[in-house]
Amino acid sequence: MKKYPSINDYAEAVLNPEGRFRTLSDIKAIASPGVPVSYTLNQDRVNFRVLRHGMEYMLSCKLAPRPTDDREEIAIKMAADLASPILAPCEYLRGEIYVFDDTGAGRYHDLIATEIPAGIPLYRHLAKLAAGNKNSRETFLRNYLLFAGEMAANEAFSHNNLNPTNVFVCNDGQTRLTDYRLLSIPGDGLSDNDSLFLTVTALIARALASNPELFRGCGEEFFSSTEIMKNRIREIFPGSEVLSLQQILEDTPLKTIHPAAAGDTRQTDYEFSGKQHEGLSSVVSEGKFGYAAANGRVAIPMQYDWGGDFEEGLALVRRGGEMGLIDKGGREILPIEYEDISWSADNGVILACRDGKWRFYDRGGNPVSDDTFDNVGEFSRGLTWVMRRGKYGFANRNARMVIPAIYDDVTSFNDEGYASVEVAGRRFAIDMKGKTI
Amino acid sequence: MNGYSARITRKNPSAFIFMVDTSGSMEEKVEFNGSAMSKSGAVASIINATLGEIVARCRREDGYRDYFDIAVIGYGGDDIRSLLPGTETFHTPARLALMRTKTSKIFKTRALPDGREAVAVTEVKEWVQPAALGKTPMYAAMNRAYDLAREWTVKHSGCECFPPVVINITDGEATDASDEDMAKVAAKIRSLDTRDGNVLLFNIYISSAGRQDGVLFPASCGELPDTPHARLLFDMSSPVPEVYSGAVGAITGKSDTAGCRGVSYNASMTDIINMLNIGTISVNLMS
Repeated sequence: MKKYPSINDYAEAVLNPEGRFRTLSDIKAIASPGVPVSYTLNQDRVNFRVLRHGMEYMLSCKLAPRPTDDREEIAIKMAADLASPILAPCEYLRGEIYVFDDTGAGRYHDLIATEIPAGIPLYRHLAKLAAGNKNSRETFLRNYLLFAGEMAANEAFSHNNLNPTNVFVCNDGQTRLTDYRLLSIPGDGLSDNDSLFLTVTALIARALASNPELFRGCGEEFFSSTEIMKNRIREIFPGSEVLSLQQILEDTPLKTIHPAAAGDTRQTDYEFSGKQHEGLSSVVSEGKFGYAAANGRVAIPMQYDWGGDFEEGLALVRRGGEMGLIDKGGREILPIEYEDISWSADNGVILACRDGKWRFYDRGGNPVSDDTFDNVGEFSRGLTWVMRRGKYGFANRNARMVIPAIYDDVTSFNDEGYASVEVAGRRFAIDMKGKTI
Repeated sequence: MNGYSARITRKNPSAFIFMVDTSGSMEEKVEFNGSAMSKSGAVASIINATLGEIVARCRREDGYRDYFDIAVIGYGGDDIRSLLPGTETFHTPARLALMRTKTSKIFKTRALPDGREAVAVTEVKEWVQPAALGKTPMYAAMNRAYDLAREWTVKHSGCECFPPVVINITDGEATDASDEDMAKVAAKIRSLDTRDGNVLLFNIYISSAGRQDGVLFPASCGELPDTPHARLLFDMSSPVPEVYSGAVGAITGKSDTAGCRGVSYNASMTDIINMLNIGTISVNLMS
């Protein structure tokens, strides 16, 4: 049996890249709080985040053998032939990284180098949504389902290893997949998987859409493999079968979401893309989103590439890669020119990012302060974490810093009013006045 | 049927109990990582690297997950004590990760494939500090490990947990009990179980400095020196379950690992590393 290095053995090579890579050059580790090189784990692989010629890459290294090992290189070559725009560029590099094991013996090992799409991985998006409001969660689920439907219509492969670390919600509004080393094409002789990925994804999305309370528990493990997902579905709906794709597509709620997903090209004025919220429903026609009133009349014409549900009178919309916020009259409270927007109806604060800087706005779209931040979190107990010059602190609804930006890492305040923070590698808890607990 | 196949999740975690001999003989010098150091120093370094890897494997995007409970018990002189900081004996990966410990930068000179030499720098946490003093109360330590493993299996009774793995590292013989008593307490530990299998007990007997005749995972006593102590360690140790067989085969060259026991005799520092890598192979079973 082949012996694989440990995470720490690989990390040593990534942190000391000189002479360690056979073909890759200009590799620089990306640190994250608490670890000198950021990484994620996915089953049998450790995936390091690095810069390569200034662009972000993921170097995926093997930790343990799996029965599917022989398929990985084939799957990645197959994916390259597909040239699908939703698959992030990726290379399988044989004998690429030279790693010393803990006995001091060195050897070359294979790795998979993937260009990281400009956006955020699904797990981070999920965390953001889970901390946000119900409407945005449901909206996301519908969009995710739409993505699955579009894949069913346009893509001829199954990813087979879908989880929230390898699905990227991109800045351009698209979804891209990484880590597709188990990819298969139905009928390619490698797998008899008949779009199980789509089937299960659709089931998950539907289960979550109809049970939004499940969403908070929907972490990485929920998506960690198709088998687990199937089992979870069986747990949620005991005695039920995991449906075939065809059965799902015949189901009314999905069919109404997107004509392409249902294989239905009938021309209609519009299709409902969601339930009614505050008197208006998000509707879609020929790929454009608008809003319809309860009587069916189009209240806001189809003009957006995406439209979220109304919450406290405001809804997020997207055109191209830019976001805006509209009211029920279709007026742009914030113009459609922001990179990201978070509308916290509970707190009456809009957090919006333009040119990489976040500002706080009131519900009328007026800036509440001139202060800007490099990154922001979600409000919890009236405070949100904010980042400035690489350090984290907490601001209130008026964008006033109530706890200074002195921390290397923070979490949001929990229900008890405590947040976990880290300074110089030391992690501890603080209260809402910034006092160490 | 003992499966040793349970996936390790937060709901169904597992446990590692490391037992480390801290008796006076562990002061003896050995060669490790290119320099001379005490056995206790080398073992502490190896344990720290093992803990570092377990903790690293438990890291996820939302923090460290409690896939394992981890204890490190030292025994030497009259002392049976946890070698990890804090009042608790079992620690979770999250607690270990966030624990304030001494850290050290390790500089290793590496010969690269192109012939150049390069210095690699890594920073490691030192949860366990070396210690070496007094006699070898291994019997009392085994009883402590039994209590911990029992407490853990009772707490997780009815769960599909991969059973706890107890790994004992020593360079001596128990000074507080007869061979018969040692065999009995080892059997007691191995009799504990979860729904996935019995607790596993591995024993690593460190060689005197300079010996290169270590035996790992023997399938019979015949592979070991013909001494009562070697036979005792063989009898005390668990048969290696199927899930370990690939790794055991790779390290021993055996195509058939049936009957192999989790024991190593006259182990070098490298053998200890290999034993611990295999003993903690369940880190690959995490969901």
